[in-house]
Amino acid sequence: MSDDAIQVSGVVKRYGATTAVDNVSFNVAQGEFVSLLGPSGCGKTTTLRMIAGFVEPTAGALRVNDRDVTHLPPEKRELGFVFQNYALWPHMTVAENVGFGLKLRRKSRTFIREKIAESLSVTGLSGYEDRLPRQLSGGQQQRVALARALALEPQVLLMDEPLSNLDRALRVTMRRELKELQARMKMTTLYVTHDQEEALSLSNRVVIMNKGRVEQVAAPYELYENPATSFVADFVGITNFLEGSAVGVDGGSMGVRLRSGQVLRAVAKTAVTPGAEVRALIRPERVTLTTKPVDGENVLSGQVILSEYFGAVLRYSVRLDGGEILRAEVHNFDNFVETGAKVWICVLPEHLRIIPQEGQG
Amino acid sequence: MIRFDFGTAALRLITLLMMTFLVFPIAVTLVVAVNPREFILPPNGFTLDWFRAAWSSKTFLRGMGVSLVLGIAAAFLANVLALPAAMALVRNNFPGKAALNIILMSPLLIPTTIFSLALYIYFVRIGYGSGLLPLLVGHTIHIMPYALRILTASLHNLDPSYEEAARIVGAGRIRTLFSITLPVIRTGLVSSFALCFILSWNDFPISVFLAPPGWTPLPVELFSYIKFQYDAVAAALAGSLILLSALAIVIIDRLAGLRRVLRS
Repeated sequence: MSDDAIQVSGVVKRYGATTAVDNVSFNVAQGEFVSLLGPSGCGKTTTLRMIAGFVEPTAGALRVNDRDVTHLPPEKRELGFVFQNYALWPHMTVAENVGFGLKLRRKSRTFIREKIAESLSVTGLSGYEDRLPRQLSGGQQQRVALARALALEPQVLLMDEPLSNLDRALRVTMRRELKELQARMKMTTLYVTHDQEEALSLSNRVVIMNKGRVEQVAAPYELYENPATSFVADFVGITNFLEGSAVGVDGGSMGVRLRSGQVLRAVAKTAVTPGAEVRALIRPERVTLTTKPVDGENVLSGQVILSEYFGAVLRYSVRLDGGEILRAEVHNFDNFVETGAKVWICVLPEHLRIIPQEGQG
Repeated sequence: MIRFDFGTAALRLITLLMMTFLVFPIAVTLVVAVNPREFILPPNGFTLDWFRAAWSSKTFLRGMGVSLVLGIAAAFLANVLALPAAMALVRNNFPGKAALNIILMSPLLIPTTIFSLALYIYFVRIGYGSGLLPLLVGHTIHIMPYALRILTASLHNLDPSYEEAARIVGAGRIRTLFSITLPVIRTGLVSSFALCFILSWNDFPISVFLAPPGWTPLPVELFSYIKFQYDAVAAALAGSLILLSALAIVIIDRLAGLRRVLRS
């Protein structure tokens, strides 16, 4: 027995010689909002479509509420699905679209009418019952699509980039509404997106996918603060990578020896063998930058090659003495540093992550 | 000052000539059909006598009935057969797909007369000869490629997520077909059915070879009439059919949009 609403275990999808989804496993707890995040072609949509039953997995098992659904047709899975292009049936009115699933379940006419009204009021579309989909705007169509899924009170709601066809302002509004709605209804939701802002702001946990594989499953905070791989670090937010080799520094903590020979200290989070090729990861907003020489631990010196003024924030690209380029973002407390200036950059050990280089173990 | 554009003028002239070329025989038929003098032009009056004669001829009315029933049955059968074929071709990739497509479209490549003769010989060999079943089979095979073309185009334009959305809310394959797929592609279905019917209605060679005695479709009936009779009843009948066709085109245009039908 398991409390998880969705269990994806070792799922593989191959199309001929190409592997779209490669041994993907993750769980979604009851009432949890989980996003599948990754660049296009990473297998996130295929994974979602396998859970829905639109695509047959080559290998692996899918369980929904502890029922094996791997080989069930979609109509037997009792799931809600919201499509990227809404997929409202063009020959049916809004009410007919929302009520179709209920009609199939042979519910009474009054029940169906009440349920349609309820679902449309939840999504803010009361009064639109008799419209045809083509008479609605994109945002309204997406609300109908959501109402259609909610009307059946599915055990799990699957959403495939539901906001990506909307313009930016509407997307932000809909995102907030979606979050409120999900929190209110405590509906288990699996959400596919390529938009990291959406994934981070909506989800309890995020599954980051790349090239058909899961890179990391973690809460948004963890993803940003403790990315497991350089792909995650690079995909979520902006990151500086400094290459070097791992060294053990006074017992518990780790260090990285940069190409220049300088050693930076970091708080050890993951075990790395000393001597291994690693990357030191530094978020641009986690550094301090001064024009006065600073001595001490974890100080890098370099020259500003590009400085950008954005009002509230100042962004710099600094060529370090070792040759690497480091991006820094500081709040506008100090004086603006002009291009060409010599600067010193401090990174606290707890703001420096060390991750193994990809492809080398 | 208006500049004389030779290209535009030439294009207009050619278009005009083409239209005349296409419309002239139809116009002549209609003029002959209302002309009191048999087949003598120019006309010297106006009469509906030929129309009256045509529409009171038992032979013609029966031929029309046969053509109507045959056309509806063949169009129905052709679409019922073409729809699953179109679905298989549009939605799947399988070895031999291109070959299957060519085989299904092959009735278009064979001259109808030769195809009809071959079919006649085939039915004689298996002990049928001409008959209602061979006639229906012949018409169905002849028009099926057209249904396949139109339905393939319709299904290409059908977003698969419509069907997926139906499946996920609990509709099985059959329910999805009848509640979602067919209604969504109804324009294509209507166009396909109408075109198939018209093709069957106009067919001459297949019917000549395969129609059994007593079940002669209208075109064959008309042909045997003009072989022996020199009055304008045939022209009046042809005129009626032209007007009916024009009416059908207007109706299809209103229902589905002619441009869409012709494009697919």
